[in-house]
Amino acid sequence: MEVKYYLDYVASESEKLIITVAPAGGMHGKEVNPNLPLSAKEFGDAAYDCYNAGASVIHIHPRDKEGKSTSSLEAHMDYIDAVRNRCNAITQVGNGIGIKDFDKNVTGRSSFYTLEERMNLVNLNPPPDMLTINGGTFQPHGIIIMENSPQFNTEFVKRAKGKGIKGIECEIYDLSHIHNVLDLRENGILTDPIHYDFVFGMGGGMPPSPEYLIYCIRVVPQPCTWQAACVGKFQTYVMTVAMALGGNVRVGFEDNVHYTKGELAKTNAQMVERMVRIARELGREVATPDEAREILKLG
Amino acid sequence: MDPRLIDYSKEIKKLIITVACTGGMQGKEVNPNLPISPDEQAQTAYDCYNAGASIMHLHVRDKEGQATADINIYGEVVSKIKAKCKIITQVGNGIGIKNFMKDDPYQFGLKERIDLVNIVPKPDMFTINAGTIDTWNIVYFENPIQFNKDFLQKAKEKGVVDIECEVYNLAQVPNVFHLRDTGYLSEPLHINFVHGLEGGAMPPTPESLISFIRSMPEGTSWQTMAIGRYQIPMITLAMAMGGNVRIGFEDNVYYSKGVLSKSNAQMVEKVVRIAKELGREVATAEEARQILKLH
Repeated sequence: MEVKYYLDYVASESEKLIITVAPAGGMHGKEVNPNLPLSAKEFGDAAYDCYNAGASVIHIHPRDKEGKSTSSLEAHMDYIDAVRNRCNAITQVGNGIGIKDFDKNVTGRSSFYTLEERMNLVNLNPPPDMLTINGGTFQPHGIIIMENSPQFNTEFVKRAKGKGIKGIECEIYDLSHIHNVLDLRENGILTDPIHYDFVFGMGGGMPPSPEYLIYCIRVVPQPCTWQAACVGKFQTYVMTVAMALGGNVRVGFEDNVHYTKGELAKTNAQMVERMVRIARELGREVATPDEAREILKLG
Repeated sequence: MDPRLIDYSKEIKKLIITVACTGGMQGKEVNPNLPISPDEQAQTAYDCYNAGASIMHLHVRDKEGQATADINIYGEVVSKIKAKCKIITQVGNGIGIKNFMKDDPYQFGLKERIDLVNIVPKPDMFTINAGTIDTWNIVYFENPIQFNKDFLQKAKEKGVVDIECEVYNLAQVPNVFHLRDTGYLSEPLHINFVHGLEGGAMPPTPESLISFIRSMPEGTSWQTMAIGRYQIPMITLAMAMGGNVRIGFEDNVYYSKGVLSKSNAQMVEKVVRIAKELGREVATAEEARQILKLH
């Protein structure tokens, strides 16, 4: 990112803070935290509470009746509607869907959804406000390979845009993924402003190191928007650093089910509240969904 | 050191908050709440101590509100603070700039500065400055290595051996090591990484802070400060990375954008709230003495 001296690092002069919440994810369930919202009803309630607390984007992975991740378009629509019926938060569907039989990963029986199942998400109707792509192929948590080839991403973005979806967020798990995204930009598949989500702390991805975050920020060209996400115990620290540097943040049970050391989070909203408190101390105002739409150019 | 974020599964270090309540440059013209007189400074120290600060970094002023080298005023302030609370007293050996923002600014000279070792009662700590800079591109702030050696030697003779080094840029890092390797400083080193003071300090960027951290040996106790509107973002980074912080009217007279601070203690309260969100407990002055291994 072009550095205008260092004014871009004055939190209080940065854009309003966009808080994304990933309330459930497509992997772990209530076994790790009984407060994790699983059903569409629970999910919608959690999203509404987060919206009231200051979140403007809800990142969605639906579950089936057994609480497992699912590629069903109907299930996706149930969750999207559960959010839309309660508030005007931006709906964002993750194109990874989740991990099948996540609980069986030690025996090697879990797997990712097929590229066809994932591609089918562009057919959600009416579509969500945003879809995410993943910047490159990698091995999440060192379990199984998640395929995100340039060919797949190109086709996914083309089709999503054909369906009128303006908001594509690029999940960056590794420095090389930035390069892949810039290739899509070079080829005209993605257009500015690109929305980056720099993900830290997931095995197989970038470590939760400030140096990696700073590198990410420095190499992406403007105009763009960026947020940080972090899996596990470093979440609050990475988010705090991101806020101080003028970035946006993502919290939620998909990434971290603890509130502090040894203490499970009660709700997703509890985590949003903490982000809002820290943002206030840093002099950053929190964006409403409409303001976030403006910043993200979702039109 | 390896610049990492706090890992709460291992250890969260208690936070040492230093307040530079007055400084030796700007006065009440920039913020009427800036403490000037010995009584105002002592009350400020007490309020900051109650709010969670454990070190008070001192520059004193004369009756006109100007920076002064008068060791009797220094003695009066140290004495009044010690009568009120156990906060660690730390005298900055730069003294300050007289006629700051006027046509004839004067940075106090080496002879006046070395006389600070004669303050009675003696402060708990002195700071030295690791190299020469051009403060605000106004006046040279001279810190030759021989001066630092003389100062440290004389301070030691007077019984003050706890020293913080103000490091303004990476070129000054070898000077710190030279003082250590020649026996003038001992480990653990206490380093204050200075950001945003134009004319010599590193710019207030995360890269600067990380370069500073990488430049120091394991076990160094470090804090960060930044001038003006960069203060809160930079010290927040430091807190998330396990470092200590310095705040106060010497470095920044604003509480938030366009809002003047009411008091130094108000800023301490903000830092304490951020620390709490990060799970960091705040060290008392007694705990800070132990953590810093003060003598």
